[in-house]
Amino acid sequence: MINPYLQALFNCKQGDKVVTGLKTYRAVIISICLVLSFLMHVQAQDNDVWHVNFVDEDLSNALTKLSLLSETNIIFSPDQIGDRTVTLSFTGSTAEILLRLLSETGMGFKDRNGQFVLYVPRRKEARYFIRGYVEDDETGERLTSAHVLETGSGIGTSTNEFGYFSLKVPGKTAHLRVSYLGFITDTTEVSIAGDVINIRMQKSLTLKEVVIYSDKKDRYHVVSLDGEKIRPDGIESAAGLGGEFDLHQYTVQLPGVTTGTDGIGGINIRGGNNDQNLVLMDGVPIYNPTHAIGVLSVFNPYIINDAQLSTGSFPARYAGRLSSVMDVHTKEGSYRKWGFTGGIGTLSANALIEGPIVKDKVTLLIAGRIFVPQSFLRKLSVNDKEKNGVKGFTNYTFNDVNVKLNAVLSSRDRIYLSYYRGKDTYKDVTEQKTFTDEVRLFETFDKSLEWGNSVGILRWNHELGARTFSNLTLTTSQFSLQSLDVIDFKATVLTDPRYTIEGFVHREFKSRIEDLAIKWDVDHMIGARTKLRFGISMTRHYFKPKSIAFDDQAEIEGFVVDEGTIDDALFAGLFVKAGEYGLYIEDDMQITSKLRANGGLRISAFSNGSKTYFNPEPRLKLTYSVSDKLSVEVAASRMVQYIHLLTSSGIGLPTDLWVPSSEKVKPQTAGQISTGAVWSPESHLSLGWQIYYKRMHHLTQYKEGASFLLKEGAVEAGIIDAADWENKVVQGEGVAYGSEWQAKVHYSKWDASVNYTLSKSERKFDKLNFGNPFPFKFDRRHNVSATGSYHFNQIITATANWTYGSGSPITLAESKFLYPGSGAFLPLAILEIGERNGYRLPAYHRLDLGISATWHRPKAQHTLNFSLYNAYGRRNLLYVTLTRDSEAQVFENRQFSVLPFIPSLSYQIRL
Amino acid sequence: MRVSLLRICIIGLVAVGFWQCSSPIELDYSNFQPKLVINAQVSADGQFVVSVTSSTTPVSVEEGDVPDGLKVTLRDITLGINILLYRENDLFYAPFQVKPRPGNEYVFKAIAPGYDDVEAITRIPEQLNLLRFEVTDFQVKPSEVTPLKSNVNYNLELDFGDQGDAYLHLIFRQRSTIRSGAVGVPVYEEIMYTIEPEFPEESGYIKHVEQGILIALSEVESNPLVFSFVDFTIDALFEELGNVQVEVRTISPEYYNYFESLSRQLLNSQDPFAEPIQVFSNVDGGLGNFSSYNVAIYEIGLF
Repeated sequence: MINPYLQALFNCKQGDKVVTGLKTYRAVIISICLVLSFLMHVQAQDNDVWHVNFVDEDLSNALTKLSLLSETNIIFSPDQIGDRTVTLSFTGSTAEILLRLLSETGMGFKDRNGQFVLYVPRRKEARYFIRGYVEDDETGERLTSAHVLETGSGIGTSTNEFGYFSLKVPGKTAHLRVSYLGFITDTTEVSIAGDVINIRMQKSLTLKEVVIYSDKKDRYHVVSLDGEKIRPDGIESAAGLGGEFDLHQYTVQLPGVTTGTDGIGGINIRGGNNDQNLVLMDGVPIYNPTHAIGVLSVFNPYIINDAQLSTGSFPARYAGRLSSVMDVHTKEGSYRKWGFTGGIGTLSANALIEGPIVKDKVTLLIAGRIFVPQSFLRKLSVNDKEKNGVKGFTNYTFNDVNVKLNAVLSSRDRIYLSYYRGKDTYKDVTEQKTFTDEVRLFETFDKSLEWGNSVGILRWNHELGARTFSNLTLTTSQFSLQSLDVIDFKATVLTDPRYTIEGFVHREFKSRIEDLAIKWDVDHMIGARTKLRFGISMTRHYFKPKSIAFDDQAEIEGFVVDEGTIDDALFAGLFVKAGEYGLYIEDDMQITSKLRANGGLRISAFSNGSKTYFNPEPRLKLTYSVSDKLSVEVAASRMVQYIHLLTSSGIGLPTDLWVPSSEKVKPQTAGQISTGAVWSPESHLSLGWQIYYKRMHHLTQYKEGASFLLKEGAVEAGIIDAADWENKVVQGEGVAYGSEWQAKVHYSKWDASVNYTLSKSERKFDKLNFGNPFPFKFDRRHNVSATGSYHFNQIITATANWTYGSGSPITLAESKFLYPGSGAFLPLAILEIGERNGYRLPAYHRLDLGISATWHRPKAQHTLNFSLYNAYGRRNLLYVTLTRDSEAQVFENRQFSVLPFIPSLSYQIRL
Repeated sequence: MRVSLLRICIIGLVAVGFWQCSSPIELDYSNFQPKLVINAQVSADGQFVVSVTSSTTPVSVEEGDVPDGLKVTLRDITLGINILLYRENDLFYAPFQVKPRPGNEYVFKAIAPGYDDVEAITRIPEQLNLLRFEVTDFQVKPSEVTPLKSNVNYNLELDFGDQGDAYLHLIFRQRSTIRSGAVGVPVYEEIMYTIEPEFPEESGYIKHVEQGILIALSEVESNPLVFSFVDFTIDALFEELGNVQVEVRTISPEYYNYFESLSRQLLNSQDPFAEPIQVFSNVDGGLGNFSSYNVAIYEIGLF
């Protein structure tokens, strides 16, 4: 018999009762239910049959309603239930309905004197290991960081950077639910047959999602603000310079990241220098990660599989830099079919071809990119020079190429061979004729600048057993820079043609760093909840910075100097070599169902022959899941950096030099603590917050006015080698702290995210700014980036990005006074320079708009993108400088800005 | 070279950004407050000349003038006496009745309507003794470039022993005898001119903006100090190469810091990207420098 009060409340009846989804505050209902049940002393009526119909009903609500309906006490703890929802239309007894309701939860119930008591059964001890790869069904490409959950036990893990996972499960049969952004989440039943399994995932045809995926059914899956995965598939519609996704342009919008104007100057993470960012291409450091002096990334957008930026909590496997790790994984290439992706935009033209040489066994990928407007720029420069009465041209270009060959040797062995080379080239040639009544002078000025990276990787993945995955890597990474400045001249005295003077001046600067490295990394599953990683690495660095200047009068160390050429033997013996070694162990452990820890220790060493350094680098990150919606984390790390980037410009020009630590110049170190929280109150909303405090020691910088290229005084003929760089630098301390905020909203039609960073970063060098602290060059107090996209339909998407940054610090002259000189020495104007970085440029802000259309044809996917970079034409200042006319002793302030309003059109096709 | 490279990079930016925008910018100097600028060094040999001018905005075409109504005072704090200054044109002179002595402390003050009062203090340092002064590796070789001329190369070694940290300003001069006049009627003339040594960057020496070398002994590792004079070209007119002279100024820290920073700022003034160099000042409320030095002169023959 049903209580009339309840009948009225829920509009249901015995025998044929329909419970509609009524949203009521859970705790209130539970209380009412228990009180009413107690008052009525209702006994369980297990013989009665009820009909229920729940649609996306909170499980706790459903249980409460069932309790009220059946007038039976159902005792449970809301903590056990969590936020699970149920959909069930069923007719049966209370016990039968309970059985159905709890079938997906792993919970059980017992009948205790007519009351049903819900409980979480003690889990069976996981005993079997299941391992395998998660891959794209269409291409066979391995999916990194895919989430794998065993539904029965609730134990989950993620694939490593090679798409491999190993999971300890209780039974010989497991139900694996695999999820990955942009792919259909699916559950697969697998048997433990002892061999490696391949789980194939199918791409989702729905609109791409940008939000971080949070699997609420996985007790061990946690979401962190630090280390967000960046996947071009999910964000390629974001309008960027040139109308295409660019990793560098995207990264500078993330919380905690600052940069110079328009990205020039590299990125600065949490108050760190731009040399403190470890940029990895498939695990190998890239020394200069941008083309065009910081405007574009060296990573071809077609080649990127995913990337991850860590700014505070560094696992022990990463080493060598203080401030961040940008770990970029490139695509392997399709194992199933040949494909082509090509595109052309205002800035670059890209192409990628990939496919199986042997199906499912060997795959090849080749990608290339070139700078498009070079011929336009050259023509522009020719006209410009002609207007100025001279001949010549200016040319700039960049290009890069990626080649990758992967082979599956067996189910346990894979070999990867890859190569990358990227180069920027600038050339300026001017031919000038000066005719007077007495002299005829021909001059040619030839300036060129080339810089680029190259990376080679040979990798062997081997599964040592069901629990252990090994990765052995041999790598080489190079960064080189060459600058030539050649002047040829020929002067004829018309009054006496016998007097003809010919000559040249040749100035050359070369800088090169070469790394040869071997490293061995091992993933080892200890138990269901503990994953151990350990490894060893050895890197041999060769630093080859040199500078040479000579003219036709010079004799350099007995070498014959011909015009325009330098015998490389001059440079052969001039290099510094050093070794860097690392040994690490890292434990990723699920301590309780709510607490996860990633701790590790790295012992690093560095030797340049005369001095050896050892350093421990402890790392710890604790994440506590308060609920399915809220997690908090705290991290602490110590990082050591043994190599230093010397920059005299501060804006990341490729003339900067990498140099090693030495007896005089100590390694840079940093200690950082951070804490934060991620709260997802609704499924479409995610809020993140972090604060951090970082101290840096032995930061290295040129002395005021010093430069590798210039001796104190006039440049003289001869080689300036690397031997004396230690005397040109000073070391000091740095401190940075701040708070980062992030909000992301995702609906079916539109996405939006807002990032805000409030930060401060200072430097203190005994020999700079008279020993007083001063702001870091890229210390911007406020940074905001807001991104939104609207999907009109499956084809058209509109995007808008707005970026704001407080003005960056700059040093300016405050006044001028005369140094009177003595005797015959003429008075000179001297500038009173204010506090170092004591002034601020105007705030930086920019709006980018874009609209893209993507449509599918049977054999091809086309994308057309139109974007407006700096849509309202804000003239953001790169820098302000006081220029001096040395003869007139007159000064003038000049401002420099780049990248105004730039419309871009790009087209892409995928076959 | 660096200027050329930076030009390349600047133009590179143009290429990347399609065009760059460079234009004059007017910064707001409406609140500019000029300061008094002192330039003076007290010498133990009794020389003291001081200029007091005013600072201007960086972009001003005017040079700092001597402020109207300027009053200056110089006082020997150690002896407790004021020293009379007299003005000639735009400079002030101090006719010391008693030569300044090492260890004596002086304070200089200047006031002028519309300016903050300024004050600076210096103490005359003890003179460092030169323990050894020697010419080494002396060579005269015929020039390979210019016939009938020879190149002279030699090193000068100056040993100050271990007398503690001190600051030095060394000025080198050469005293030679040259022959002039008509053939058969030679005229011999003694000349003296300043010579500048070459030194490696790691030496820690700083070239003074006018002449000589600035040295902070605490920053120098080598002892004795070695200076190379390279490829000094002589011809047949040189009757006698003569002597080399070194003026050893033991300078106060303010002297060193001021001229070291000032010299480096001027050397780097053509580089638009280089971090600007702050010029040291010990003048409270103003700019410039009031410092002191002690001096001794040594001379040695080149043969």
